[in-house]
Amino acid sequence: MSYSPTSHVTDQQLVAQVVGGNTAAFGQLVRRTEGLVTQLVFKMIRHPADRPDVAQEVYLKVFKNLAGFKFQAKLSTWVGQIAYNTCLHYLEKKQLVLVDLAEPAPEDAAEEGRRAPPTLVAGPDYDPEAALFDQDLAGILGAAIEQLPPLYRTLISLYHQQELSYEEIGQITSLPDGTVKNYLFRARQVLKQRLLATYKRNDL
Amino acid sequence: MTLHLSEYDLQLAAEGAPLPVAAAEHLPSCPRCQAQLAAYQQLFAATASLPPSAFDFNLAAAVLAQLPPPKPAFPWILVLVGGLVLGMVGAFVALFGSLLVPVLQSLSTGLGVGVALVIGAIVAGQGLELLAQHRRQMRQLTFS
Repeated sequence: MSYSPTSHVTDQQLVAQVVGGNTAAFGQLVRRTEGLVTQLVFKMIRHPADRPDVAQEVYLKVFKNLAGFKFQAKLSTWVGQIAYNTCLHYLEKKQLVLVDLAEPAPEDAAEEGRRAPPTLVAGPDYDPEAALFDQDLAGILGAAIEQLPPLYRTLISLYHQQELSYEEIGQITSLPDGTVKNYLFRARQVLKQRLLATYKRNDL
Repeated sequence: MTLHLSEYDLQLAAEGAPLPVAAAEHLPSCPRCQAQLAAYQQLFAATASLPPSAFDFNLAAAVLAQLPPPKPAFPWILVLVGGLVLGMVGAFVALFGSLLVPVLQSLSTGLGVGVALVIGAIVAGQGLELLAQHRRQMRQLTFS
């Protein structure tokens, strides 16, 4: 069967081609899903030298298990699930933590956020809006995100950059939707606090 | 006492989600909450516009190079053809075996061996050709 990388085949057709022995079609499957996989690997694996191996391991697992994939979820979600679990396994092997245990449990954090008055109170002469407009924001923001625990980085990336829904993120991470929301709430709160702290420090 | 929006409500508002009534009523009249809401809105927008991470090598090509070679398919066609040929030979021997025995006995031993070798070589050659043709077809089906 001839295969053209530009042909507009559906995910189902693509999977059928690969399962039928057309390994070249697997390249198209990789190109279709590598954006999500790359984000997951970059956010969960801090050591740059390990990322290429982990990403390739993800796709070798996808290839090995593709015949058993019955489209219970979207292809990209299923690949994302494998990527997340592969990264998780990497973190476990390296004995790295997914979320800082010193942080409050997600349920507690959300409750705290609902009940308590704002913990971040800007000074009278401090204008966060103006500060956040700073042209250096991207660099500072990127660095601040890198300082977050792997799960927080991942959730922020999946929700705000990949624009996945809570449900899709829940499927990828095997976390309940409520837990995803609570972790994301906590991640954004920590991120905002650290950014504002950085700006305040720079102002001094 | 004026209660400002909680962090949770500020994030809800920044996402455009509906707020609890008290928070929705408070927000328009509170510059501090508006400023904090603006901070979250800017944070979300800036995060969404961050350049995506990317590898500096071709991931698809690297993965394809590591895939295990495809297993050769079981040669069902060859087995089928072989079975048919054996069946026909068997049927021929069963039907005309009694006639062949005196003919073969009348041939000298050297001639009989020669005939058997020639027939064996022809059959082996045909078999190899069939196998090669089958492999060529499978390659075309899979990779062209």
